[in-house]
Amino acid sequence: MSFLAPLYLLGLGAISLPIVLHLIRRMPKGRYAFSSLMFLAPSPPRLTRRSRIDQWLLLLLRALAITLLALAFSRPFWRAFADAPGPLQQGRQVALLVDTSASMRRGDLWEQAVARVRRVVEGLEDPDTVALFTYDSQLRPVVMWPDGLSVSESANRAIILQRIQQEQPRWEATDLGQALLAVGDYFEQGNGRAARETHRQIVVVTDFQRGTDLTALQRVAWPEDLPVALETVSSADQGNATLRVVPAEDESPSDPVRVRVTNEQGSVNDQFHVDWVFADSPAGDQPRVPVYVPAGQSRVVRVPPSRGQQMPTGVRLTGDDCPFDNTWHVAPVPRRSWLVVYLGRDQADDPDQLSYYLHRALTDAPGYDVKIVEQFEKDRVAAPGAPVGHLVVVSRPVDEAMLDDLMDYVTGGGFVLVVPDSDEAARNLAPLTPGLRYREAESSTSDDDYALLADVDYDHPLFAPFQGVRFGDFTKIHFWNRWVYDVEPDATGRPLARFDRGGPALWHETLGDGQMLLLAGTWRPRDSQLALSTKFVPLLDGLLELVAPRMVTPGDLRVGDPVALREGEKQVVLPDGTLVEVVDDQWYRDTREPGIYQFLSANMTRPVAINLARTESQTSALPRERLEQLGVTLGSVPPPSVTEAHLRQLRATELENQQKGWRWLLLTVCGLLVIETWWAGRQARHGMKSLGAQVPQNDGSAS
Amino acid sequence: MSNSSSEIGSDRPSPSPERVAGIDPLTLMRIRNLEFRAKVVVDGFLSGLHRSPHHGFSVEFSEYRQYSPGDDPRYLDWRLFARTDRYYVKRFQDETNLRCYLLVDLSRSMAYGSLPYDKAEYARTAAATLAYFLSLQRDAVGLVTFDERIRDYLPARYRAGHIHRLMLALEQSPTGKATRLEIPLEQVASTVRKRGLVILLSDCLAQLDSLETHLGYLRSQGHEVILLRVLDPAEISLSIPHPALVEDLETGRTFYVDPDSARAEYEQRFREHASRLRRICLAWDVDFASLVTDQPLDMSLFELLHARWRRGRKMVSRKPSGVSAAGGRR
Repeated sequence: MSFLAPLYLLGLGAISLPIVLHLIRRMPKGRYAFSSLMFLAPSPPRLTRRSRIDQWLLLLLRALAITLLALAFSRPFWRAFADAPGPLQQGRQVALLVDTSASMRRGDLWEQAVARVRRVVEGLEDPDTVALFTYDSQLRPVVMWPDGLSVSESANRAIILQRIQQEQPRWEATDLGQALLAVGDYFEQGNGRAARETHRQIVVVTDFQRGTDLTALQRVAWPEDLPVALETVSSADQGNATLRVVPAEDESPSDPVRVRVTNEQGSVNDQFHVDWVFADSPAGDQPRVPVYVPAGQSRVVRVPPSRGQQMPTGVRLTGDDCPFDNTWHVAPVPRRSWLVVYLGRDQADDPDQLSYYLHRALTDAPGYDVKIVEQFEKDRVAAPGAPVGHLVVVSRPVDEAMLDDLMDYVTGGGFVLVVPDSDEAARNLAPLTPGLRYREAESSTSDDDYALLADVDYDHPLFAPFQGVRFGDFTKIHFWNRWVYDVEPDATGRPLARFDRGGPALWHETLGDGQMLLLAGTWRPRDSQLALSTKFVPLLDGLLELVAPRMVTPGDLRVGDPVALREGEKQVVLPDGTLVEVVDDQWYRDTREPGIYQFLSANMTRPVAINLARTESQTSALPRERLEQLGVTLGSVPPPSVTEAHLRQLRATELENQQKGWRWLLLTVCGLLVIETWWAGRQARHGMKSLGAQVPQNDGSAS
Repeated sequence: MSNSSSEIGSDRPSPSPERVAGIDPLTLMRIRNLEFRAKVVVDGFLSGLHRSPHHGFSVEFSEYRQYSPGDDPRYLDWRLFARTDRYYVKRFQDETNLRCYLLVDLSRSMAYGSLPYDKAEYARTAAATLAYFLSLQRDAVGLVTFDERIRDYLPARYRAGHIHRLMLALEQSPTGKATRLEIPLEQVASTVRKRGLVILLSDCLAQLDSLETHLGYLRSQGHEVILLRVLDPAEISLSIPHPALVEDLETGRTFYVDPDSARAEYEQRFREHASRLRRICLAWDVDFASLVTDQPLDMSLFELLHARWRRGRKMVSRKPSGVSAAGGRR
């Protein structure tokens, strides 16, 4: 016989209560007031007839009634004939997710996480199966559930404990939502074998910081039978602060760099410093800017440009407890330079000639330098995006060989500006522009007889800076002498500007890989006002940009973001100095840590800065209710032993409900009480008769 | 009264047969008005007194003495001078105004009673009776009620309304938590300078050590002292009906008492206490009487007064006092 509520058997102790109370002491019922106790002494209670048990039958009846009542309350049942074995123990299928995002680099969070994993694995019971995943911006299965054939569960757990020791936190952002969905898919797919029969459980070991991305969970309804247990680890640091460079639209290398410093909520520190970081050498006497940022706020501070020749690779924040996000990498912009080959017959110091103004306009400037030479080498073709741009300016007549060389140069990717200085030169150089046919030279006889620029193509990059009404006025530029060309019907080039008297003024033609630009005039003061106008220098600058466009480095790339590759980039130098080959020809995807990545091509190096995701710096803890708000079931599946005990209890309840032994016991109790009442009444009457007028004393023995 | 015979009761006069019954105390206590109750009792024993051959307290001639210069000429006996032609002054026994103080114990132990009335009621009635009786004789009566301290103090007076105030003071119920017999005795000794009669009504259920001292002090001041011990018959024989938790009325202390087993020891200790009290009274020439509450009050008082009268006669003869006015009473 078993009992559903065996604790009620304690009620059996009530049997002894009346006996014990009766035998221990029979305290007088009433109190008697007396004038003085000065002549009295306490009397010991006497053992009288009242102290002896003389109604044995009554006592037995009442004790039996109490016993049966206690038995009835403890809900007895017989399991001998119905105690069939229950279903086999079903273990849990546990997926262990460990956060390896950058924020786990704080303090001893990772050690805590490893210890937590060990505790979870060691707390599993025999029928349970467990798999280990790590996640940051993506989910990585580390050890899958055992298939039962090659690896046993115990071996699997040993592997998990071994592998978690080898894991390290990475630099990527935290996307817990995506990771949970992916693990859910693993459960649903073949990896979650017999998924429907087992109890599934996800255990997430994470710091659950505010920057955790949970948006993926908004898309789906989380299954109710897949509870998630959060094992959060917390750091004892006193807050975190981070920084990032605010990009400026028209920054100049001499301008201060704007840096936004953000201090996390609840941070204790509020005084920080920002300084430059250099690849090889320490900062030295570089400026160190103090900044005060209260907790939960951000400030923008202007950091003066670094001094010296070496380009800084980033800015650094000092003064907070968590250094993992204290450096913002900035790709050093290489100094641009141009090599201009001038093929002319004039001297650079003659103010009436072309070269003089070319030298004056193309001088070194902050951020780039220009070198003008007269030696032409047809192999000196700059690749697009090369740090050194090559421009050939031709103004004099050249021989046939040179013409061929120039043509080869252009078709090979070179850039040539043709500015014929004479009718002869115009005629000589005409083959360089196949789309034009030279007609004649037009010279004016008076100052008032001039040609103006018209139909300027402001959409072309060369004229794009003059697009505004205030800047697009070219009517002040008079051309007295010009070369008149006719456009061939099948010309592939197009005029960027025309003369109001007809004919192209500036012709652009793409030949092969290169480009040809022809000015149907000169900037000599006697020919036109172009060199003396305010448009001349911007036009030549635009020309240089056209030759070698400014290298636009992708800004704001985060760890894990793919970097678009440029033509010819086959190797990458990682921030730690490792040289790796690029396998893809479109993207480089292995940006696994923040720093400066050097993309190498045949003749140039392109630095790209990869930074930490901004969300990783938001280190204050999220409330775990946030997951519940998104519909995720939080909680733990009880271990199989608990489940088994629960099932056993359920079976016992069912058996007891079928047998209902307590009803018979209660019925017996009622019968016993009836007999007891009848017997007690009979004894009382008998006692009254025998004792006459005395007070009956038949009750004390058992009641 | 039979088993607690007092000094007085031992040589009581044999009253007339109709007086033996006395007034039933149960009937007497049903009279609510204390003054009327006292009057009933006084009427009862006065009739007994009048029937007695001994005629009570009056100014009595003592002796003649030859006049010597300095004597008050008002006391010269002019008749004797007329007959003898000599000057004599008359001397009298001083039985003038009696100053009587009734000291009534109203502690909680006096609230005990196995009869329909308690000891306090009985003592109150006795005190009221004595006061009324004395006031009839134009004696000044004072009252001190006490428990562990003095509760009421009325100086001895003889004037209209005084007896009524005294009755009102007596009607207070017992409240005190202890009995300190020496307190009223000290009070009387310190405030009453003239000699008088002090009647202490108490159950005397208290320690007797200090009582002896204070009785002696009073006696040495010349006061007559009568100690009337009021007892309930259940106190004398420990008549507790069944074993019970017995609670001390004064202290509230309780313990279990089985009367059958405790009775013998109780009675022995009670007797020892009573005999010690009696010895103290004897030693200081204090009249002592036990008033048991189931005895008729008029009988008890009659015996008391009768015995006192007899002792008073002896006392007068033994203790001559000063000269008083020829009229005896003022």
